[in-house]
Amino acid sequence: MSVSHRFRWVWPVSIRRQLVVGVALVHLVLMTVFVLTLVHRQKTFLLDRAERRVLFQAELLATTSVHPLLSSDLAGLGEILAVLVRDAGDVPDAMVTDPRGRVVAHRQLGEAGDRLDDATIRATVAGAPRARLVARGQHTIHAAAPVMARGRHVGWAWITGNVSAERAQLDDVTRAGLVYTGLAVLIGTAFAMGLARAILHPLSLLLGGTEQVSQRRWEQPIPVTSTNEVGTVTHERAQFEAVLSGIGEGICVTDTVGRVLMWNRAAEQITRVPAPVMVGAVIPGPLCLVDGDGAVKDFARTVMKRAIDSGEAVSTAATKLMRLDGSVLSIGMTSAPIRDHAGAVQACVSVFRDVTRERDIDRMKTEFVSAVSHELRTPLTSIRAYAETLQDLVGDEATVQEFLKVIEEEAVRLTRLINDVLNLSRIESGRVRFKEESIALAPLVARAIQTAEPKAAMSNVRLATDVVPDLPPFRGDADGIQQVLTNLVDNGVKYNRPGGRVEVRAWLNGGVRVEVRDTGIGMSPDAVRRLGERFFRVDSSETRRAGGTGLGISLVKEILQAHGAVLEVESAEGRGSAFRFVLPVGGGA
Amino acid sequence: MKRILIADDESHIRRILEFNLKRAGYEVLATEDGRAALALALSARPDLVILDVSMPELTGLDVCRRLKADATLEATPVFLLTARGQESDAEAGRVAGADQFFTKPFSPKQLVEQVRQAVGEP
Repeated sequence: MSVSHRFRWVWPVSIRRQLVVGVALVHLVLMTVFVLTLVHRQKTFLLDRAERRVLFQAELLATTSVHPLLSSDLAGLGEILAVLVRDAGDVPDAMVTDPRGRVVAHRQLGEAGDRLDDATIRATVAGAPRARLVARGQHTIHAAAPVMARGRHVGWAWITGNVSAERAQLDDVTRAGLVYTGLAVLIGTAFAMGLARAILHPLSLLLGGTEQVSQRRWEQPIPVTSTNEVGTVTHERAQFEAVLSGIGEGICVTDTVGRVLMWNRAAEQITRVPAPVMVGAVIPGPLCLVDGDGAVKDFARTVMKRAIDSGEAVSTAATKLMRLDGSVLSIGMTSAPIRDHAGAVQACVSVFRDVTRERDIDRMKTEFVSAVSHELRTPLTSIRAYAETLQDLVGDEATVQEFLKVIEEEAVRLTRLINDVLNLSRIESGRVRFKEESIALAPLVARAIQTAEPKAAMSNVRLATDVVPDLPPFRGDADGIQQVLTNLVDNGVKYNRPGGRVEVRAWLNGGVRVEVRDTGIGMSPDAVRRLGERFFRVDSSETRRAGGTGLGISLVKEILQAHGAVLEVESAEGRGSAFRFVLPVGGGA
Repeated sequence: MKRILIADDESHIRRILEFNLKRAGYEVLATEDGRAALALALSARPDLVILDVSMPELTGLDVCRRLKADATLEATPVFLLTARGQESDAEAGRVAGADQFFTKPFSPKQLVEQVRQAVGEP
């Protein structure tokens, strides 16, 4: 309801008061008009009736007076008047005059209130001989009727009628009207209040619910079940709230000085600070925020403040949040100003989320690239240094040959490294399609042993196989499993000691079970856990000498995973390691 | 004769440095890890130390820091070799007190030249 400001002081602002005052006013005005009209009509009716009665009595008196008047029977006339005054009860005064108004007979009951005055009588007798009302008083009506004897005007009959009864009746009607008006206003107001309550109760719940968007009592849905317009609004509101609370991103609305107005469920979950604590607090409040320059203790240092000052959305990924339990999160946040219709910044809405994992992955990527570059530089250094030195070695054939061998070895190492990195990245990104063929394991084992033979001979490591003869074929990719076996055997040789041994066993047990066991240097439990991290090598001079990249085991794990198999590792430091996996046995083959 | 200590866990790189420095006329001690390098530096009193940054046991940076903290060795020039070649490594090297910083792959000839400038003719 739009009411101009000038009327604000009379017209209440709240809907409840508007309804009550409005309905009461309408009832008051309508009922008053109704009662006034009713009283007026009743008055007209009653007075009309009284007038006709008095007039009739005057005419009756005129008729009955003809004979006594003509015969000058004053006693008879007096008798008639006495009967009239006594019997009628509502005629306090009656008289008979001659045509000129001189009293012939007069009868008055008690103290007559307002007697007809002489001026009226004179005015009446001066007029035509016709029955008429001659005067009206507060409680009396005066009427006169000519006494006619065979067309001759012989006198006047005068009656004063009492209208007190009508007056009293009128007063009753007026009083009743007023009572009804009052009742109508009361009932109307009560009805209006009831109506207001019926409308406003759900509305007030909705308002309460709306306030709770910021306070966030999400676990309590707004308890409105009405199907009317308020219900519709509430339903939309509830949907809006469900969306707000369902959003996985933390939402924080602050005013321009950093006071928190809204704190959604995700914000609670990310920060572990509940809304009742946050709402009303000034950022950072109970939050422990750390940015590039240290702890954020002041709202002025926040992205929110920058968004409010610049009037533009500002993003950051460099803020860290320390929870009460000490865990630290990286927070990615975008703050944007909220403007009013005039364009002035009123508040600030910030959306944030936990980007710790993304940051970790980012960091791992950087570390991976750095590690790759490190691993690439090492063989390159040899190649460059040996090639450069070779140029000055004309004549020393033995050294030239030795150095050329190193260059070749390091080039091979570089190639293998690059291949491993590429393979791993292709498998991880899902670009490698492993075939599903029926493959016999024995030839793959034989080839892996064959490949490792030269290095094993050089390191004085013995290679052995124990593959059950009638092993059924497994389902998988021949090249992939070949690489798994080659890498595992190669590792077994690499991380071994002179006189050691590497054995590949395979038997049937819930699939083709393969084990590559060595009697090498073994690994600590921590090393076993970290095995398969890129470029993780068990760090000791012995393994450094072996010169692996740590990519071999990563590749093995990825390939086995693509076959639905898991690499199990068992290792004892100083005694050796065993790597086991189970390959699925052919179904459709 | 000037004595040079080399510490690198990559045997090929040890070998080629040793070869080039010996050919230039220097006496060379070579080791494959940081702890051994520190022990050798303290016992053999080299005129110059060449350290790979990433070595097992003790990193080149650790060894460099300890050498520079030793009153009898603080004047001994230390060259660092790194395969990472990132600014942060160079900075760490400076902080550790290294005199020269070589990023792999480097030229052995240039390295020998720098050695000659640092300690003079053998």
